[in-house]
Order: sequence, then C-alpha cells, then structure tokens
Amino acid sequence: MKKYISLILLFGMVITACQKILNISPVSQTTDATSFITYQNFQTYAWGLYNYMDGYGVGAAMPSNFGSQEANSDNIMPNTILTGYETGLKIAPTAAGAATNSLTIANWNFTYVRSVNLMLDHIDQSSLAVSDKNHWRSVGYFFRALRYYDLLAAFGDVPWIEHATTDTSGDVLYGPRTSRDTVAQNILNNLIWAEANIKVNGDGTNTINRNCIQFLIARFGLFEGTWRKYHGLTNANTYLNASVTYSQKLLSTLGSTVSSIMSSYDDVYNTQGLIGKPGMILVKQYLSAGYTGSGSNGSNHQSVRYCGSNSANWVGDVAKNAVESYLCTDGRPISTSVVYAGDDSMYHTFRNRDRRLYYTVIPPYRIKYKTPTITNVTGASDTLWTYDSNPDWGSYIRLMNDTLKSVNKHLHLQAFSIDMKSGDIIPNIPHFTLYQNTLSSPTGKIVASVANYMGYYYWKLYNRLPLTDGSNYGSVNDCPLFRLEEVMLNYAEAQFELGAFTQAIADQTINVLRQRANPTNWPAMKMVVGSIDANFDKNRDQTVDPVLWEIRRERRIELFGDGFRFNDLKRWAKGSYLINQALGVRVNNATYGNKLSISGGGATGYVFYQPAATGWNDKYYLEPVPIQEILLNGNLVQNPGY
Amino acid sequence: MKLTAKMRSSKDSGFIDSSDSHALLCKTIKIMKLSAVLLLLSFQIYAGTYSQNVSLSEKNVKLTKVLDAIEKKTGLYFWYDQLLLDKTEPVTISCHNLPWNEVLSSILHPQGLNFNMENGTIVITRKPLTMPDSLTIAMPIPPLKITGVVKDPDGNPLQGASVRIKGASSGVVSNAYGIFKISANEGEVLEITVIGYKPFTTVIHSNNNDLIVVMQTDVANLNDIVVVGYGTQKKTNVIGSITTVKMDDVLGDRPVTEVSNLLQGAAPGLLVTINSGQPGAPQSSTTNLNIRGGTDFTGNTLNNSSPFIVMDNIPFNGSLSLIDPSDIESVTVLKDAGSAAIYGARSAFGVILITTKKGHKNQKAQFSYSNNFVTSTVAELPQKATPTQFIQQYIDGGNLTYQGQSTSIWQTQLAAYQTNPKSYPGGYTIQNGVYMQLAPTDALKQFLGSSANQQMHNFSVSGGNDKTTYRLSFGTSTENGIIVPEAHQDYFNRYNLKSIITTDVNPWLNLQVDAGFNSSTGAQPFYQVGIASDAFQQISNITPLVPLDTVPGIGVVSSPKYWVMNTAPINTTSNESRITGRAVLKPVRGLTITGEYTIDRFNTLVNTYDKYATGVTYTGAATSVGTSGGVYTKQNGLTNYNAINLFGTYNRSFGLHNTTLMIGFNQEQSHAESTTASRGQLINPSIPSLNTAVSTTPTASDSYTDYANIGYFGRLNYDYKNKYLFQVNGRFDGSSKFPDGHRWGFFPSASAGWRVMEENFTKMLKPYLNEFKIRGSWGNVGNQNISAYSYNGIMSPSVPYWLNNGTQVETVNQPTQIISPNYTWETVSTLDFGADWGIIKNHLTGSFDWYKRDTKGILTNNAVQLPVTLGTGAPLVNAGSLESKGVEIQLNWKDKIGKVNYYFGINLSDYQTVVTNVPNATNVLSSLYTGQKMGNIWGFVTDRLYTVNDFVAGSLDANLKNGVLLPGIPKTYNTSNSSIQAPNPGDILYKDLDKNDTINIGQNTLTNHGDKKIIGNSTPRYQFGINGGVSYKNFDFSFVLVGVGKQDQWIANDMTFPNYWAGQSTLYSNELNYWTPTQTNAYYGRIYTTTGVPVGTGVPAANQDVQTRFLLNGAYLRVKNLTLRYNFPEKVLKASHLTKLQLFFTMEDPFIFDHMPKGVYPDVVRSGSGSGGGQGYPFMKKNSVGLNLSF
Repeated sequence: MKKYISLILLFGMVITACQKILNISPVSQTTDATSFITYQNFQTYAWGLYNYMDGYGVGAAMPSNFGSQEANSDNIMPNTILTGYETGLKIAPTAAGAATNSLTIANWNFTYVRSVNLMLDHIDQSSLAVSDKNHWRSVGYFFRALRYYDLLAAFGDVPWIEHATTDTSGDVLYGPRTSRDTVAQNILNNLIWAEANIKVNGDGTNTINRNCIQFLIARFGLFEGTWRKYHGLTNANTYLNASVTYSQKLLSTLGSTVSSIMSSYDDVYNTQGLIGKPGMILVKQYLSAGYTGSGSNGSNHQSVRYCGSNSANWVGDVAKNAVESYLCTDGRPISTSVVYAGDDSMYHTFRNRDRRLYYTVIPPYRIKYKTPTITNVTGASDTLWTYDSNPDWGSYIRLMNDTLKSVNKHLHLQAFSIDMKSGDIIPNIPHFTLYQNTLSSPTGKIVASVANYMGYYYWKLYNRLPLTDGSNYGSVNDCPLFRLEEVMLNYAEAQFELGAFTQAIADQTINVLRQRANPTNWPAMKMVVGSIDANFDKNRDQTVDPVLWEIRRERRIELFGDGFRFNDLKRWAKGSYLINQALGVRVNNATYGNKLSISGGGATGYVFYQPAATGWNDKYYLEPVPIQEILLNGNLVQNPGY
Repeated sequence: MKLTAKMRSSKDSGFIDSSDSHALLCKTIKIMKLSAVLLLLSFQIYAGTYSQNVSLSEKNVKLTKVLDAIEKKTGLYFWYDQLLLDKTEPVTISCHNLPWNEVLSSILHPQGLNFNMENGTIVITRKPLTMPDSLTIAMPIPPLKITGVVKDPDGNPLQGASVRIKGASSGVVSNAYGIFKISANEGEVLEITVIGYKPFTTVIHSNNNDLIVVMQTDVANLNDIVVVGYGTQKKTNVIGSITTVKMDDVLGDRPVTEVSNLLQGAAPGLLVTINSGQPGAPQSSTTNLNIRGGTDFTGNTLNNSSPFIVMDNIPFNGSLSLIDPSDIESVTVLKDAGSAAIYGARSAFGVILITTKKGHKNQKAQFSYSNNFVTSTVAELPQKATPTQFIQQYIDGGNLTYQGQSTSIWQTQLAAYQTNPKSYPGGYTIQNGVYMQLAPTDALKQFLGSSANQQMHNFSVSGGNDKTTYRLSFGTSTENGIIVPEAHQDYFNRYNLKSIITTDVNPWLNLQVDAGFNSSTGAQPFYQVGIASDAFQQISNITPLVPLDTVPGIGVVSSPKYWVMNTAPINTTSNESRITGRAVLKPVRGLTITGEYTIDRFNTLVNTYDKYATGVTYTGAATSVGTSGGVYTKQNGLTNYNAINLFGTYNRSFGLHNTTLMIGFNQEQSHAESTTASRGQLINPSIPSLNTAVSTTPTASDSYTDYANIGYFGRLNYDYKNKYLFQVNGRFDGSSKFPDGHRWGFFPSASAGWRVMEENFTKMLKPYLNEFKIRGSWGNVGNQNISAYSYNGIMSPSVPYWLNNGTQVETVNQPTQIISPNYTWETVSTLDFGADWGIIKNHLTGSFDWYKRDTKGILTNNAVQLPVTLGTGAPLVNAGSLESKGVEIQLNWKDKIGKVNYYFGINLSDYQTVVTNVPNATNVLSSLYTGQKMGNIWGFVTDRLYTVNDFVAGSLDANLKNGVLLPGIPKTYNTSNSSIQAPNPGDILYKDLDKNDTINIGQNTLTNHGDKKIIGNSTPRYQFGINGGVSYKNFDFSFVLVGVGKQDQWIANDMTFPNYWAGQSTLYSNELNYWTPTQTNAYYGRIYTTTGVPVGTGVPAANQDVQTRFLLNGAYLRVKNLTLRYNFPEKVLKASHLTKLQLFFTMEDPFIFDHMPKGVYPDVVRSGSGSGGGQGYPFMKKNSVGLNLSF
C-alpha cells in the first residue's frame, strides 16, 4: 500500500509544482492598459486616427470621396448604371457596411468613434500634465467630430457615443438615435472647446493644430447652418455664425489675398511636396512605395493611373451641365457672355472660358500619328505625333503648352505608363468608348485608353510625374485636405446666408480664387456684387438668389472633383438637380461612325449614354439605416420614406 | 527472455504495451526530482530483508495467492509471467518456519517451474526445455516425435497455437511456453495457426523434429492489438469507436509523400480534404483533416476543429507533411468521446494516434530498401472556347473593339485564318499596324509543363537481441511541381532520419530513446502566390487571342510563364527535431509506470524575394511585376515545445474479473516566436539578401505565441470473462488560454461493450458469426482551440496610411474585439453506439457506428449579433451549440478462390450538423441561426430569362436594353450591391416567391427572406473510400477509390459563367450557350462586356446570383490509386540472398468521375478562397515504378 501512497504523493507534488505555468501573458504586444501612459503613447495611437482622412485614397481605388460625392451628383455621370438616387430605386441595405473614410456617404459604422473614444477614455488615468491632457482631448474631439459630421450628414439623427461601449452598455447599444440637434451641438461644442485647448502648433508640421480645428468649425458650421436653413430646422444661425467667426480667424492668420494661396490652380492637385505651400492647412502626403519596403502601406495612390486609362474603377464622364457652369473670360456665365462661342463643337465650348475648366476637363484636340500604326514607343511616345491639317485642332495644344506653359496638363494626352513617357498617344479628344478609332486615320490602330462615353473627360488629377511601385503604378502627388481656398468659399457663403455678403468679402474670397486661376483675364473676370442681378445668368435656378447662385457656382468650380457636390446639393435641398439627364459634347454622329447615341436622335446633337433619371425622392436627403440594425435594436427608427 | 514473456502477457490482457518503453530524460530540475523519487520508490520495493523463514498454511488455492502471501510475509518480490502461473494447478501447502527457498521449491518444482534470484528479485520461469509430463498429448504413436516452440516476432512464446498435420482432423495446442509435441510422418505438412498471425506450414523431415517457429503477424486480423490513449488494447476488447489503419496497407507502393493524403478514404469518419495538387501542398494548409465533420461554427470558424494528432503518446504539432509515411506503423483514429477523452483538452474533435515503427526483439538485422520513380502529368485542364467563339461573345456583349482592333476585323481575319491556316505561318496577322493573334493560345498550358518528376527512397534497418531493439531509417523524397518546370521554382523535397532504440536495463526498467529529424525544403513561384490574386485565377482570365511568346516588332512578350522565369521563388525550409526519452518501470507485478519527456523544436525559414521584373505587353506597353527595386523578406519562425507524460497502469485479475487502472499526468508547454525582416532596393538581384538590399528603411517585426496545458487523467477498465466490457475515463485539464478562474475543466466519459458471441446461447451461431460486439459510449470533452491571449485586449501595431511630414510612423490599433472575462471551456459531448462483427470465418469483418455529437458553449464571437454601435468585434463568449448526427460503416471481405486471393473493403460515413442554439436574435441569414442545417445554400429559384415580351412594346432600344417592364413582371435585385435594377431581355428572371413584383431578399432573415430559399446543401454527404485487391501467384493488384455521394456546390468563376468578369474575361467551351437576341432559349443569361464592370456592380452580377439553375452537383468518384506488383519468386530471392524483392507500377489520381465542367473539380479550390473548383493547382496524375527489397 505504501507504494501507492508514494505514487499519489508524487502526483500531488507534480500538481502543485506546475500550476504556475498556466499564467502566460503576451510578449511583445500592447494592451489598452499599456498603450495610454505617456505623451508618446498618445501620439502613437493618434497616428492611427489620421487614417480617416482618405485623400486620394490608397492603392487601386478611386478616392472614396470622389465616388460618393461626385459620381452621385450632377458633376460626373456614373459610367456603369445610374445610382439609386437617380433611378428612384434606392433601398435600405440589409447589413451595416464596413469602415469608412472621410466624406464618403457614411456607412452606419461606429468603429472609428470607438477608436477615438478609447483614447479619450484613457486620458484621465494617464501620467500627462493638464495641458497635455487638454491637448489630446482636443485632438480626440477633432477626430470624433470629423466622423460625426459624416454620420450626421448621412443619417441626421445618430446615436451619440461619448465613451467606448461594452456589450453591457445597453442604453447605448439598444438606445434610440440621438437627435440631430444634440449631435450637431455636441460636435460644435467639442470643436470650440478643442480650439481653445489644443496646442497652437499641434504636434509639428502637418498635424492637427488650432488652424485645423478652426477650419473644421468653418466647414461644419456652413454645412449644418445651411442644412438647417433649407430643411426648415431652427438654429441655423448658430452654426453659420460659428462658420463666419472661425473663418475670419483663419483668414486673418493665413491671409486672404492671391499670395495667400498657391499661384497655380493645377499645382494644388499635382504637386509632390505640398506641405508648407501657401494656403495648405492639412495635406495628405504620398511617397514612393519603396519607402515602406512593402508597397502595401498606402504610401501612394493610383489616381494618375486611372485618369490615364479608362478603367472601370474610375468614373470620369463630366456632364455638359457642369462644363457649362464655368464662367467665360468676361466674367459672365455662358447665358449672357458675349465671348461665349457656343457649343457647336467642343472647340467652341472651350473658347474663352475660366481656365479651371482646362485643368479639369481635357480640352479638345486632334493630332496625326507619324506612322498610323505606331501609337507608343517605350520612353519616347512624345515624338510620335504631328499637328493635323486644321489649325483649330491644335489650338488647345498650343494654348496649354505654349501660352499657359502647363506642366502637368501638357497636350497631347498620353496614357499612363510607369515612366509617363511610354503610353499610347491619345489621338483626339473627345475620344469615345463607342468609337475608339483615330479620327485622322480611322482604319489605323485603335487606342482604347482615355476613352469615355460622353466626351468630357475628367483629368484634374492627371500629371506627368513618373509612377512608382512597379505594377501598382503609384502616384505621389499629395492631396490637399484642408486648404484656405475652401475657407474662403465657406466664409463667402456663410456671410451671404447671414445677409452680410459684401464686395469686400467677395474681394477677400471669390475674387482671390478667380484671379489666381485667370491672371491674364483679370480684372475682366472679377465678381462685382452690385452688377449681379436676376438677369446675370439666364440659366439660373430661379429659386436661388442671383448672388448666392454665383457664390455656389464658384464653389462648384473651385472644388470640382474634390468630393463636395453631393453633400452641397443635399444641404441646399437641391437633390432635384440630379434628375437632369447627363449629356455630353455636341457632335456630328457621322464623324464617329454613327456609333454614338444622340439626344433627340438626330444626326448632330448632344451625346448621351445613360437614360434619363427617373426621379429624385426627398427621402434621399438622409440615408437609410441598415435593416439588420433596426431588427437588433427596436429603438432605432428608420429614416422616413424607406 | 523472462522479461519479454512478462511483457507479452501484459499486452494480451489489455495493458500498457511496455515495449513502447522510453527513457525519461531529466531536462529540468523538476523532472530530476521526479525521477529521483521514482528510483527511490523502486529501491524501497525490494530493499526489505528476504533471508527470513516462512510459515504458511493454504489448501487448494491458486499459486499466485500463495506467492502473494509469501511476498507479504517476507518482503520478497516476485517477477513472473502471469500466463505461466495461470496454467498451474491449485496448491496445497502447510509449512512452519521453513527457509523461503525451500518453500518455493516445494510449490514450484512440481508444477514444472523454476526460480532464481536476480538483483534482489525472484524470477519465476519454466524449467528448461524438459517437457512436463502433464502436457504430453495422447496420440497414436507415429514414426516421428516432433517437438517445437511457437514464438511471436518479438520472441515471446505463443500459447494456444493450433498445431496439426495437414489433412488430419485433430491436432494439439501449444502450452504456456509455446511448446507443443506432435507425432508426424516424414513428408507430411505441419500447419500451425494462431489467431492474429499468418498460418505457418512446413514439411516434416526426419532431422527437423525440434522446431522453433516464429509466427508472422497478420495485420488485417480481428485480434490485433490496437493502440489507444496511453496504452494498447486487444481489438476484441475495444469498446470505443476506433479505426486503425496499418500504414503499410494504405501506403503500399503509392507515390505519395504525405500521410494525410494516404489516409483519405482509409477510415470512415476521418474526412481528408485535399484541395490542391501542389507538391507538399499540405504545408500550405490546403489539406484538411477532420473527424466526423460538422464542427465549424461559422464559415470562418474561430475554433479549430482539427483532430488532435498524437505521435507515440506525444502531441504532434508540426505539419504532417514532414513525416515520412514509411516510418509509421499504424494510425489509429479515436472518434468517440469514450476513447478520445483521455486526451482531454485537445481531443474534442477526435484524436489521431500515430505509432511509429520499431525494432523487435530477437530479430536478425533486417535491411529494407524501397524506391519509387514517378512521372506526374497534369490531369484534365479547362478548355477555352475557340478564338472565333470568343470574338463572337465580345460582339454579342456589345463590344466594338478588342485589343485596339474592331471586332468585325477580328471576325474576318479569324475566318480567313480558319480557311487557310497555312498562309499564316506564324499564326498571326498584322492589320492597321495591330498584331492579331489568330492561332489560339493557351496560357495555362504554357504555364504548366508537360510532366514533372518525383523520386522517393527509403532505407531502414531494424532488429534486436533479447534486451535491446533498434530501428533506424532514412528516407528522402524529391517532388517537382508542374509550374514552368524549366524555372525549377516549384518543388518539395524532404528527408527524414529516425532512430528508436530500446533496452532493458534490468527486469524492471526499460529505457528508450526515440529521435527523429525531419527536414523539408520547398519553393513556389512568387508569381503564383505573391501576387494579389493567385496565378491560376489570373490565368483563367486570359483569352485565347493573347499572344504569349514573340510578337514581331516587340519581341518576347510577358506571359505568366515569362513572369515565373523572371522572378524569384518563395523558398520555405522547415526543420523539426523531436527527441523523446522514456523510462518504463515495472516495480511490482501488474504495475507499469511510464515517464516520458519530449522536446520538439520546429524551425521554419521563408525567404521571399519580391523581385522586380519588367516586360512588354503584346501591345508594346511597358509592364512590370514586383516592387520597384525589389524587396527581400526573411521570415524565421521557431517553435519550442516540450511535453511530460507520467502515467501508471495497474492490472489485476480476480478470477474472471479483469481490471486495469491507469492514472497519469500530462503537461505541455509551447513557445513560438517568429521574426520577419524586409528590406528593399537590391543592389544585385542575383544575390538577394538583407545585406545586399540597401533601402534605408528596412522593416522588422516579431511575434510570440505561448501556451501551456496541464492534465490529470485516469481510466478504469473492467471486464468479466472478456465478455462484458466497461471503461470509465476522467480528465481534469487546465489551459493557459483561459482567464484565471476559468482555466480548469473536468471531462468524464464512460463506455460499455458486450461480446455477444462469447455467450453460451450464441454458440451455435459461432461457425457463421465469429464475432459480434455491441458497444456504446458517452463522454464530455473540452475544447480550447482558441488563440493564445484571447482574454487580453491586444492592440496590434500597424503602419498607418498617414505619413508624418515625410516619415513613416507606427501606431497601434484598437483591440479587434471586446473582452468578456468569463469565457471558459467549450464542451463537446458525444454519444456513440456501434457494433463490430466478423462473419464467415472472419472473411467479412466490419463495424457500424451511430453517433450524436453536441457541441455546447461554443467559444465564438462570430455568431454573436451586437449592434454596430459597439464599434468593434463582439466578445469571445461561450455561445451557441451544434448537434451533429452521423453514421459510419466499414465492411471488409477477404477470401480466396483457388489460387487467387482477393480482398475488398468499403467505408462510408455521413453526417449532418444542425445549429441548435446561437445568439442571433434577429435570425439574419448572413449569420448562423438556430435550427440551421450547416451547409445550407440560400439562393433564388431560376424561373426563366426575361424576354422582349416582358417589356412595354417599343420601349427597348436598338440593343434591346433600357426598356420599361410590363406591370407584373418582377424587377431584378442585385445582392452584391443591395440595389434594385431594371433588367434587360436575356437577364435571368427569378421566381417571385413573395409575389411583390421585385426579386429581393427581404430583410435577409429567417422570417423575411424575400425570394430566397434553401436551394441546396454543401455538406459532403456519403463520403466513401473503397479499396480492394487481388493476388495471383507472384502478381498482385490493388486499387483505392474515394468520393462523395451527394453535395451541392456553388461555384462562380470564369469557368462556370460566360464572361464572368464583364469585359475582362474569357470564354470556356462549356459556356457557349448564353443569351443573344437570336438565341433566346439559352442556358446562361445575357452577357455584358461593354462596361468593363467588375462583377458586383452591374446586371451581370444579378445574373450570377446564387440560384438553382447553376448549382453544381459536387458528387464524385476519384480513383486515387491503382497498383500492380510483381513479387520475385523464392528461387530468385534465395539465389540473391534477399528476403523480399518486389517490382511495382502504380498510378495515383488517374481518373475522376464528376459532374463538373471540364477542368473544374469538385475537390480543387482556388488557393486562399473557398470559391470552388477550376482555379486551383490541378491534381496530377502520377505514374510510378519502383522496387522494394529486404535482406
């Protein structure tokens, strides 16, 4: 028996000796208990929050704000199918979407809110000095406001979540939506507090600082103020006043003259190394992928690649309506301009126009290949073409290359290639998907790149900087996120809505932008507030004040393609603009082998591709809440109409 | 000899197989202490005085009882063979104060027994070969008296061997020493049979009347010893659901290097899924082992439901592809909880026990060598449509141009080429300066070589004397893949070295060292795996009009093959050293204590060179793959694992009551870490390394995983007359993966069995029904297969998409899920009823099992539905339960007709799993819901195609698009972007089940699912394996078939839909029947090529929604192996001093019978995607020849 007792004792010894090995904690991994102690910890964590600012996107997709704000608007025609807004067939999604970026049509997603709250919740327990605590709280408030701004714009009422939730936070998880009034007020209050408490210079160059907060108040104030005004809500002026107040602060800091902003409109979009350039408040920087060693960390984007091809991932058909909104060089809209040449052809349409049009939509041209069958040569595609017989066909090439000496918007156009010297020479603009033949040699080689359906091709982000990152064709032009030009537009519009818009304000804002874009037509193009009357633009939406119409026009043009238009239309309650059928250039169909669809069916006329939109529903001003979220939380009420 | 006799007997009575004894390696101080205690314990046992006298009085009692009494009184320790004593007569003794040796003499000598003292132990043996009179068999006196000994291969005597003269009606039986005596005439044939061994025959000569017969084990016999958890059992006494596979049976001479591949179809209920024909594929986790299926809680299961793999008692953590199958003796699959539960924590989804080969005692050194030379060719490939058909499809889709040339010119030129191919010597033309490929190209064929080679060699030597056994083996295999063979970037090589040595230090201690080293190197083209979507998927898009070689004026153009030739492979090296030391102590009779310590070191090294390569496309445009400047990445992983097992087994019989008690302790610790370093800008692409990369910003990262388990376990077996069998198991387990306070779990199980044929009332059936056993078990097992540290809110580092003023910064992400502090073990309880039988002289053997497995408290966060306002993943909680029910049948027939021996076996398994509980409050179908049958496929019911008549007359344009639907005709819903779309004629119209004029998915919940319904189930039903063979004279032939009886598969890719990626796709010959204005009665819907829209945004996506029409039948039958073998006759062997020489020819994976389009396989999937067949590494047909020889 002794033996068995010994054995049992033996097992007992082993038992007691070994239990400790079960206590294992992670090596080399941080937890929320160790991530928020020092100033450095907070800074490290906060870098992740900057991801929200998408800029030109990451990798192969088009910038998310472009897709959601421009292709959903009257600026750009979607080239696949009409959106649900236009067909009137939009329905509520079943499940909530994935993570989001700034200025997209926000998904019902609160991951980012939690990310910010996690930091905010850990400030008090940290070892920071009070001023540092205030600084990080301000940074957190800024990012959370940025996200709530998008949520508010999309859904109106949204649950306001002040702290990181757990699965037992029933009142948050299963509570009702917080009213728009409260959410908007929280955003504004948080931002105002942050403005007073953040470090003036943030955490160094191109970080969230006091200017950024003032900027966001100016942007958000205008959005919420006008939304309230045009959707019949109260307190519009609270937000408009905030917009004005903080715009003024920024304008007084950063200036409001032509020298306060970059000298070239095109350079704003196509510069590598934008940080520190005049007017730049916050920039998303891109670098060659070799930098990170992996090429997958989003250090570059692919806008140039998609501008320089005709990929399905890129929507680039600019609507005639948008082209027509650009002023003529006499400072007047096409309806009353004496220098407007009409639209018999694209060459006519582009004559004597605000030059921002040329930097946004490819001007018309037509060239000849020296050898009709050779459209590209590695490293030397440039040399393959000559001017075609008709001098008109080369007029915009000469204008862009010789007169404007444009670097990026150099014509002829060349399809993207890794060195931006080897791609196909595009033989003519317009260049139609449905007729890709070369006009000068219709039986010659067909070039499929940079073709679209309606003729007006968006190319604002096209530049000739070599691409990097091998087969990913990365572009490294930086993206302006917050810039003084937008402050000027926000300020002008907010002042108008408050009834305080004057020539002086116009000269500080709109006229600065116009002069920068059109230095040789200055002061012909100057906005003279007193001379804008009901007849200034015959094509004006008659429900909009003539001066406000011009302020909105300036916004549309200066910010064309930057991801504002859809939200602008929504806050102005102008969703109805979407139902106009998108048309393109005016052509003689015979020139294009009669392959195009002509509005009205004639031999000449405006090209169209998508059928006419069938209707905008006012319910679309707010996005539907995902069905499953409503099923999970009975206190969530769907937005009206869905 | 004495000791081995002892061991044999313990084996037979269902005890620990002590020939597995291993030495205990004292690695840590703790272990040192342990062994010290053990030694001390052993010394105590015989340290008492034994020179005393004995007083004793017993009447008619068992000899063992007398010995026990003497043992108690004197402190003497006896060592004997239980069987030896079982056969003795009862003893009557009365003595007073006699010396112990006199007492022993008086009781042992009359019984034919001897004794002597060795190292303080009294060892009882039989008297040397003088036959006891009592064993003389009464027979008519023949001319010759034959005496012999029957032994097993280990040299242990075999009792009960039936010995007879061939043709005679009766014979004799060997006694406890294996000795028999029989009379025979010269020239007669003596036949000896023992159940479990191959029959032995010999011709009687006058000079061989003193025979030593060594019986050879018969592997397929019912009376096998099977390996069970921490021990062995006689197969007849097994009451769990266990299947044993002898590796030599399934391996045979197959050209297969991988264990799991061999197990496919070999055991019912063991489901082996092989998804790829890639060499060494299992290392890339495309091979999946699963016992009884139905364990995944969600598609992306959190819980690893793989079976627990144990090799010689020690968990095996590496990849099975590292093991040389030739080193494996048997694989035992423990399926029910009753048999698996002894492994506790990790056995929830069954256990696979691998037993390696060992040497045998008293065996002459045996040298074996085998080789196998293999030629692999690709099995059937998908067939692209012809160029003409392809261009026609482009035109039908509304596309005007292709490759910069109008589609009408393409048509004309292709037609001209068809008429007179000879006038186009290069198979191309140039029109308008555009190169036009006219002869069809096939990128896949170009990518794959015509054949690849493989070689396997295995050499082993084994043997032993009466104290020591050894086995040493060395094996190599080199397997080349089929991807661009000339690049030699696709291979898997392995070598294995293994040795096992056991020795009896003394009668009570056996030490063992088992050491193995496995090493593999493999490579895969970077182009195949390093690119965003794998090569096979990319290649499947390439049209037959894309030039692949040389284009005039441009030169060599880039093609998949070109990229492989110009990039560098990803090299993977794995090394594993595994050493086990074991000590087996037998301190007292019936008790065996085994201590083992294993250290297992596993290293992997992965070198990836993302080489930058440039090329030109067929249009002359510059193109490239890889990262500019190149990036070299080295990933180094180390797993350091150690395990301690300490267990004791005690068996004792009380009359007809036999009991065995086993208790034990097990501890595992694993530490894994890996380091990854990466650096760009290589200065010399031909010497890729971190040193030759000059980027100033190299990146590096590391990761660690540690876990530990502790378990205490016990098992009690009891049987009465080997007829009524019972077993209870208990295990108490702790795991480091759970939060403190929730770490420990207790998991019991119980089994019972009844051998019906041992009853008196079934005796009359015995000639027909030789064996019939009914058994049942129930058990509860825990599962902890979650990642380590799950209860910590890990914030992983990442590089944000934000550059801080020109510098790269790092950040940490918020935890991906919140932490619930209360989660603990998931429990799996299994109820199993089964039967085993042997009919008609055991010609027909088989087993049947029915089981129900309930998985409760499933550790998951996937299934928990929380509002997204939470902002992160739901916590890991014990939520939800599953119930699987299944059956398994195995039947084997073995017989001979004349000189033809044949066998045939089939095994079949089937199961279905139902979600019995899940926290899906809204019953949304995107998640699991309570009552759901796993594998259900929800989809639309295809009605027909929209026709022109469904639209308002005149509303359609010239292309039959953009029309206005007539009232009452349902609109189309597009699930991929949740929108309603206006269809065009030719689009697919689904049945409007909810009659709301819109095809929709409602709220996508169980109660409101719009027009979707369950249209099929993807669970593979009736999975079977069939094997058989015949042998005639020196030839034998065998085959292995595997398959699935019923399965639905939804496969959406280029091979199953015409122009799957609108405008970026090609066309396959099985996809020609699509809608056009003139072909309205088509199988496929309208195709769209003009928009270039990827699937998911346009109408094509709606046409490709999951639906009844295109649901594929996944049933198949695959011929895994055919082997033809020639055994050289004995004459040849004798002349060449060989004991065996075989030549063989085998075919692996030669055929498959299925219902899929050509080149699409029900069992091949695209790597990294579950989307189905046709885009993965194809299976290879392997033809091989080789030889086996032994001497």
